Amino acid sequence: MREDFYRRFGKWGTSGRRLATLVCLLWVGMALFPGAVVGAQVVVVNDSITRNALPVATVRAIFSLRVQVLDGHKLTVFVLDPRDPVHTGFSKDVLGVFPYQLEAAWNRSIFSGASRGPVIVNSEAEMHRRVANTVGGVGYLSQPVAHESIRILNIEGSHP
Amino acid sequence: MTGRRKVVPWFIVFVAMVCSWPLQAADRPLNIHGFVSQGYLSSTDNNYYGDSTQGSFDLTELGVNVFHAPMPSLSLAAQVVSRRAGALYDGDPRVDYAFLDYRLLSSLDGYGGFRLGRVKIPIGFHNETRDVAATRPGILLPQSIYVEGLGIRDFYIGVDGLAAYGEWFLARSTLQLDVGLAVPTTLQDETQAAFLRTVSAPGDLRLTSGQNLRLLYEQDGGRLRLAATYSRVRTEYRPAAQDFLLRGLAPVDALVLSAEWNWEDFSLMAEAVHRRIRRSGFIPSVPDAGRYEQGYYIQGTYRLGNGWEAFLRYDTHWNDRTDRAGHRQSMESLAPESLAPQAPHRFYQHQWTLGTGWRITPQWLLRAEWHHVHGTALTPLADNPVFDEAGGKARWDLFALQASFTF
Repeated sequence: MREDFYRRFGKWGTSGRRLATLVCLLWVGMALFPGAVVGAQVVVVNDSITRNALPVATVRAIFSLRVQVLDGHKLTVFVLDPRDPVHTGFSKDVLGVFPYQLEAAWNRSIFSGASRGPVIVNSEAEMHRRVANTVGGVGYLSQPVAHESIRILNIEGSHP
Repeated sequence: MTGRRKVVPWFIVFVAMVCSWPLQAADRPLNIHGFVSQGYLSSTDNNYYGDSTQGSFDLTELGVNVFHAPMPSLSLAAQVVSRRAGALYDGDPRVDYAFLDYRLLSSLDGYGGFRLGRVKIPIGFHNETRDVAATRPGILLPQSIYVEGLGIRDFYIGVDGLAAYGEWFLARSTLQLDVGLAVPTTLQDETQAAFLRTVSAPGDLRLTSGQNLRLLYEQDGGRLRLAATYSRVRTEYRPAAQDFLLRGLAPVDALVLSAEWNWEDFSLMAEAVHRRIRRSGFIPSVPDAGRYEQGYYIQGTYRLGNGWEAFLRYDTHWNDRTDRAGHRQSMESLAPESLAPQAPHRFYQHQWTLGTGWRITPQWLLRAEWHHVHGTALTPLADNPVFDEAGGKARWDLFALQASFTF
């Protein structure tokens, strides 16, 4: 859990004391308002993607539809409805981007011919299934899961 | 405009909408997206897109695009747009873009590639998707930067040529570079009419050369965005055998600086332009002229929650930085031989805009905005023939509503 918070808030600075203070505050905050914290999301990829980790800048560029090819495969980005709390949590905490910025990036991309846009799925179960069944598929889930054709993509520099 | 032409864009959108849902659902390789928007404008004194003083629905934007990637590094994309906006833009469908995109480089440090065909030119933050209501910061774009009637709108909406792009990922930021090169082409009739201020010129207005360069810096995933754009456009009027105009040249050079700060509930955006416009020829015995236009806008947008947002914008423009009140330019236009005497308010435009938007779903957006305007320099001449008789009102108000749908 502690590593989790380091990963989520590592971008705020590397000062250990500042981070420790932040973690403590969040710890207390979470104890007081347990419903306010959405589970930590993980990036999942189809097993055609062979690498295990990517820098956050690249993951952000993938979900902004700017990086479109990885390990020789055209990427297909799967997302939940932008209003879904899992999506907003993923956008803010994992990518470090506000959901409205992500939607603006998608619209810019779709209507300038740069990409085909993300594929919006209805549930995490569908996300799981579609990523598993799509070569070059990439998405996110609120809980790590074990499945033979899906793998978790770590964010570089934020895991022990 | 004939009835048949009016029907065509609606038909395209209808077919696309019918086709797109199963395509999206099936996640097939050919992808279709599009947009539809309808505006309503009501104004005091001056018209903006149709007879808005009486209430006007003359702002309709439709578009459909397709995207296909036959190989990981190669894609094909095309978009058709119909834009009806007052007397000048009658809604004839046009190819907005149609290009081949090849990614030469794709690595963890960045990527780069080029596009060949009719490509969109990034100028500032909003130019590439300027006709898509949902991507704009309001119903009407800040006209100081995204001007409509300069004779370079063709360049602004898309050029036939080559565009190269690249992005580098740095530790906390990214740097994007876009370069666009236009091949010579004849400008569209409506651009020609807007620029020459007459629909009866028998010759051709040609884009002889056009280049664009934009550098975009984004920090912390776009919390801070900074951009600088330089565009250079050269146009030439080639008179017909029997013509009342002479050969004329009208070079335009523009520098646009842009900045945006994004917080969770609030965004602040500002852009400024410095534009050099010269003219030689066109009219017998009129000396060559040059001037510097300037303008900027600043907009604060507050997100209220549940899809609601409100914004306040100040947008300002001067036709000539040495004559900001327009008196000298007006006096010159009142000379006895002048065909189009202009009031001073034709040479500047300053406006406050208060707007609100409600994103009912990610696809539906409703907007309302009120503009308090001083000046008419960026107000469509085609909707206000009285401007060429030194008419029009300096202070006026414009109210606009718009519904837009994207798919």
